[in-house]
Amino acid sequence: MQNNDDSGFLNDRFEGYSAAPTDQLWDNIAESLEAKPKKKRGFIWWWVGGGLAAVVGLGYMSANQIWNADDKIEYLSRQSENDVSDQKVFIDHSTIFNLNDSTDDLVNTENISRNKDLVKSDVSSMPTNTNPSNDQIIDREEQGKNEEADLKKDPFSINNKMAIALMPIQKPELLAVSFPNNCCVFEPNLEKPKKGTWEWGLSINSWHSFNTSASEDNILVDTEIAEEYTDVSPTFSIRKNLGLRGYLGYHLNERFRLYTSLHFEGTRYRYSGLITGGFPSSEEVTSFYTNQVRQYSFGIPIGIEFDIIDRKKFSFAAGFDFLNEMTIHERYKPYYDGNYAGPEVSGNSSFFHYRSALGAHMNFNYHINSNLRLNLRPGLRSYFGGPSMEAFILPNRQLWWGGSIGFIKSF
Amino acid sequence: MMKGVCLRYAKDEMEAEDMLQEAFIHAFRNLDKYNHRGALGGWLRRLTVNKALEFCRKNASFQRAKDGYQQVQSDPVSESNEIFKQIGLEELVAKIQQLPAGYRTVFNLYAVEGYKHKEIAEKLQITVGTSKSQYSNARQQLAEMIRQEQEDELKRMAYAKQ
Repeated sequence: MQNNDDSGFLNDRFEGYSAAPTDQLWDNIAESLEAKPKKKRGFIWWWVGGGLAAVVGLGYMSANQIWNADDKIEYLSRQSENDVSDQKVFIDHSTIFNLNDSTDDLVNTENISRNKDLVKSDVSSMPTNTNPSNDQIIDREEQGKNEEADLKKDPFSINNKMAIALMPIQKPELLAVSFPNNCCVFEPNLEKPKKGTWEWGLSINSWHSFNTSASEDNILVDTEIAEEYTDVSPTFSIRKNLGLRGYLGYHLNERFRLYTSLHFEGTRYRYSGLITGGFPSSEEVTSFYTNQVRQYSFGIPIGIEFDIIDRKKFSFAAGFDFLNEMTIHERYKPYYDGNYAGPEVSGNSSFFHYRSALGAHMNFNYHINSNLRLNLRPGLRSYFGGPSMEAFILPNRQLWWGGSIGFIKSF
Repeated sequence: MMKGVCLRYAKDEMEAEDMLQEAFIHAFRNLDKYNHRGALGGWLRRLTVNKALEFCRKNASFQRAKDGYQQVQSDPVSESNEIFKQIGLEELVAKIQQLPAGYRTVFNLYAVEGYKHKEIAEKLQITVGTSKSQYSNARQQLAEMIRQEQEDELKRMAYAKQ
């Protein structure tokens, strides 16, 4: 391995050069060997743990509410055709079927919010025998006139008899279970986002590769690792990334939304293999190496999502996207065993390499309030295309699984 | 032998002992990976060089050549090589230790280990031009130190004769 000029010209002179280590050195070595190396814990497990906790929490809450669903029934008022009000009416089940003259005390008028016009239309269209057992509401025409006059004075001072009279003509289009404290995962969502609504979010994401492999052209895998060394069957052990994701969505209607996002990801690969050869001397050895590659990139997907289930506290959507990804920096560093004395192909470089991928995902949301939701978004990502492996140290990206967890807010 | 390698890459004996400690620990922990195909001494030597380079990567600052390789046009190569053989090993090591870390590392890799500049560049994550420049400057500084010492020695001898 001598150069044509003078490389290694002092090699012979230093061949036998040595010095004795101090006694203190041996003590230090003994102490270090007795100490156990610290075990590294990956931040990824915090993320996984957090995601699992969220899923378990949501599942428990849902199951708990379903099991207690027999307690009460909720009649929900719906908007009339002219869509002037979407206020809800909550009436206790037992109250409805025990009406009598003293129902004034039983019905909580605060829970009844009626729009004046709605009431008028309901009164005029009221069937004559919707509640024949109640004598107090038979003469509807007179009652209606009086109450209409009252409503003109104060539309919110509707008396309880009127409310009771109205009950049969309510269209219980959505019959849902109701729970204490209005905590209902499966309660219908009456505040769906309308067309033109924007939303944004922040999340952390993590992806893992199913089957990343190395291209034969990869410079860490082929014989380019050194002129004298041959790399033998590298095995990938870790390939995962972690990043931040900013999200922007636009509702096409109540169900569909377009979205894009900007995510920054750091991808880590670790793969190992055997190299055989000899450097700088001619003696051939087999060495074990582990190579760690870190790659930093940003991506901009464009996709569409569809709400399959949309409840007040919970929603589930599915979607797919086309991902544009740009790798901007790469760092790689090998770790060899002591047999290896050849050049270590390590580096740190910045560049721009475009990749594309198709992604499909599910989208679980827990609605903290009408504008804010906790979002868990597992999915698959399949890469295609990308840079030439000859110019790119990172192995092929293929099929990845992962997702993100974060918050999304409407505005 | 292992400490001899470390002394060449370190700025002083204390740093050399730190390197040596790391090298020994690595050797003891990976002794099972030694395949007995080569000499144990060679295995330990390579291991020590790699550990010394880890130290250098952490501590050395390599001043990168802005315009690629700028050869320092000073002494011809053959003359420089001769001058390095005119002093004892202990003295030469002491002078190598006085070099800046970057110069010292590249000089050791090139002149003693026999690596090419391309390989040094890959090892140290620098450009080939930087490696050549560092080596050339290191050699020039060393030669200058040796020459200076020789002149001082001649002066002392002349003074002693008087």
